[in-house]
Amino acid sequence: MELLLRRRAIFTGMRPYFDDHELLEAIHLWQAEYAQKPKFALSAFVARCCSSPQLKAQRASILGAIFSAFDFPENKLLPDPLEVLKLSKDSVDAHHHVVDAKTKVFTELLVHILLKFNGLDQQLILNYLIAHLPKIKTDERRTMHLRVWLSRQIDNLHANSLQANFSAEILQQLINISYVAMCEYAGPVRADQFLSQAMKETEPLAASLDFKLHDLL
Amino acid sequence: MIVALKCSIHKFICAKSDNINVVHLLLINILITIIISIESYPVNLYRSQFVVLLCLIFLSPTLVFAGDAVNVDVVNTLWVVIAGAMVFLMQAGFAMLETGMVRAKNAVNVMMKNYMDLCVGTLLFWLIGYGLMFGNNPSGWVGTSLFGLASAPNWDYTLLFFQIMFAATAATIVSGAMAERTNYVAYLLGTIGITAIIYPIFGSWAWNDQGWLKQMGFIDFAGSTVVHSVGGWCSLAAIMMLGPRLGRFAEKGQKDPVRAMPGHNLGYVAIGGFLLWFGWFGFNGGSTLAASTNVGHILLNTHMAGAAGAVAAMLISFITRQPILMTKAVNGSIAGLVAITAGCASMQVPYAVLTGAVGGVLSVLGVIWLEKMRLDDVVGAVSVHGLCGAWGTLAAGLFLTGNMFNLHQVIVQLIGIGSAFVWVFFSALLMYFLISKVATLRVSTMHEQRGLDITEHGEIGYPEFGNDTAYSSENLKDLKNYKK
Repeated sequence: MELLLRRRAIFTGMRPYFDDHELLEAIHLWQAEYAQKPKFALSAFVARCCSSPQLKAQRASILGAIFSAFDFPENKLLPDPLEVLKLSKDSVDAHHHVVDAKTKVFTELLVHILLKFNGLDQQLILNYLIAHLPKIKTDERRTMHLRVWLSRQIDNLHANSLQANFSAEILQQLINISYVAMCEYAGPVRADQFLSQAMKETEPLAASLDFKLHDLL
Repeated sequence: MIVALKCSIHKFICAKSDNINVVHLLLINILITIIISIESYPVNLYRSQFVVLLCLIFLSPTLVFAGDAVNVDVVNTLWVVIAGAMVFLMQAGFAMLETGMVRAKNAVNVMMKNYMDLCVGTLLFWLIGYGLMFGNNPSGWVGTSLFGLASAPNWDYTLLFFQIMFAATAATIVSGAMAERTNYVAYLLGTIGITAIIYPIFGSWAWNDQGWLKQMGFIDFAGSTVVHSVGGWCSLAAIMMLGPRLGRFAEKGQKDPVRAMPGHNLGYVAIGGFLLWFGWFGFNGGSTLAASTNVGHILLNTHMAGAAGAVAAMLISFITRQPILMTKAVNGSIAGLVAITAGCASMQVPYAVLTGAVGGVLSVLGVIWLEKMRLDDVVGAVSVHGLCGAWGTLAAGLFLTGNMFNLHQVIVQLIGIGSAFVWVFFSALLMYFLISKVATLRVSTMHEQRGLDITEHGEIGYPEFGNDTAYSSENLKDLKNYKK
C-alpha cells in the first residue's frame, strides 16, 4: 500500500477521536517514525498519541478503527490529511508567505537531486530526510513545515513550495543529509556525480536570484 | 712519454693488486686501450698532454681507492645510508599508491598524511622509539636507553637513520587504510602512538639483541612482521574504530552489498608500485647492515617474490573470474615483497618465488574477506601488509635454508606472529578509541561530502580539472566555514 493511502487510512481511523491539532501532530509522528515500520508497530504509535486518560481508555477502539480503515476501498477513505489539516490551519499564512532566494534555490536543488532517481529511491531518500529531521536544530514550526513539504514531495516532486524560510546553515545540513541518503541508496560515486549535476542544473536559477549556490554546500 | 706512462700503470697494478677490484681493472683497461689508439695517430703537439689528462681522469678514483686501504666501516656505512635513502623513497611510493586509490577530492589529504607522518614519525622515533627499540634491554621487553640520541659513535647515527625510515614505513601503511574519512590531527596522533610506542616495543622484542623473541630465535630479517604486520594490524584496528566510508556497503539484502569506489588516478598507483618496489631493494638489502656479498641473493629473492606476487594475484583473479585490475596486480607485487621481507636472506630462490606467489594470492583473498566482514580498507593494507606479513614470517621459518620445515622454528615464528597481532592490534584499538574520545577520529558527513582536501587543508588537488565535481577552486573562497 503506498504511503499516501496509508496516511489517509490512519487519518480516517483516527479522525473521530482527535481534534485537528492533535491529528496533525499524530500524522507527522507516524510519517517520521512509523511509516516504514510493519503494521504491528501501529500499537506503539497509538499508545504514544493517546496522552489523556480519555484517549487511553479508547486505545483499543482507535487501533481497531485504523486497522479497519486499512481495508477500506480508496473512495471510502478521507482525503490526504496533510492537505486538509494544513489548508484549514495555515491557509491564510501560506497565502502571504514569501519564499526567500536561498530557500527557493534549495528546493530547486533538492528536486534536481531527486529527479536523478526512480520513484522508489526518491521515496526512500525523502523518508530518510524526514527521519533525520530531528537532527536539524530549528524551531518546531519550521520543522513541521519541512516535514509537510517533504511528505508532499513523496507524492509530487513539484508540489507546493516550502512555507518557511531557513538559514543557509540549516539548508546545508539538509543537503548533507540528502547526500548521505544518496550514498546509502546509490553509492558514493553516483552521489558525487548527482550532486554535481544537480548543482549545474540549479545554477541558472541561483544566478537569476543573485544567490551563491555554493552557500548551500 | 707514453711508453713510460704504460710502464707506470703496469707497475701500479702489480703493486696494488690486493686492493684492486673489478671497477679499477675496467678503468685501467679502458685507459690502456685509449692510449694505444692515440699512439697510432700521427704525432701532434698536444698528444702527450692529452694522454696525461686521460690518466688523471681515469686513475683518479682508482688512486683514491688504492691510496686508502678499503675501510670496511666506511663501505658498510655507505651502503646502509644509501639503502636508508632508498627506503625513504618508499614514502613517495606509498603516497602515490594511496593517492591514486582515493577519490580526487581527497588527494591532497592523503599526500599530506604521507608527508607529515614521515616528519612526525621521524621526530618521535628519534626522541622515544629508538630508545625503546634498540636501547639497553635487560628485561627483553623494552629498551631503556638511547632516547633522543645526541652524541654517539658514527655507526649509531647510521643505524638510527636507517631505522627511522622503517618506523615511518610502519606508520604510513595505516594512512591508506584510513583514507577519505579520518580527521587529520587524529591521524597524526595515531602516528605518534605507532612510532613512539607500538612499533618500537614490538621491535624491541624481535630486533633488539636482548629481546625475548630474538632470544628464542625468531627470524624476521627485514620486517615482514616487525614493520609490515605492525602497520597492517594497526590499520585493522583503525578501520574497525572508524567504520566504512559513506555508502561503501549497501544495506544487507540489497543486490550489490559492496560498492566499488575506484581511485581517481591509476597512473599514480602504478608509479607508486614501481617506487615501492625500488625502495624495497634498500629495505631488504640494507637490512644486512653491511655491504656483504649476499646482498645480490637478497635483492634477487626480493625481486622474484615481487614478480611472483603480481603474477599470482593476476592468476587468482582470472581463476575466480574477477577482472584483473591494476590495483590488484600492484597490490599483488607489494604483497609478494612484504612476504619475502622476513626470509629474503635465508631462503633459496624457488622458495622466495613460492612465498611471493602465496602473498599475491592472499592479497586478493584478504580483500574479499574484509569486504565480507564489511570492513572498509581503502588500499588493502590489512591484507597486503598484515596478512602477507604474517605469512612471510611463517614462510621464513618453513623454508629456512639448511633447516627446512623445522617444527621448533615454525613454532617460534608462530609465537612471533601471534604476539605481534595481540600486542599491536589491541594496543592500536585502545589508542584509536582514546583518540576518538579526546579528538574526533572520524570526520563529519559534511566533511566527507566536501572532501578532506577542502575541509582539512583548505585547498583542492586539481583546481583546473574539476569539470564534474560539485566543488571547484573558484568556489573555495565562497565556501563558508569549510572546517565546520
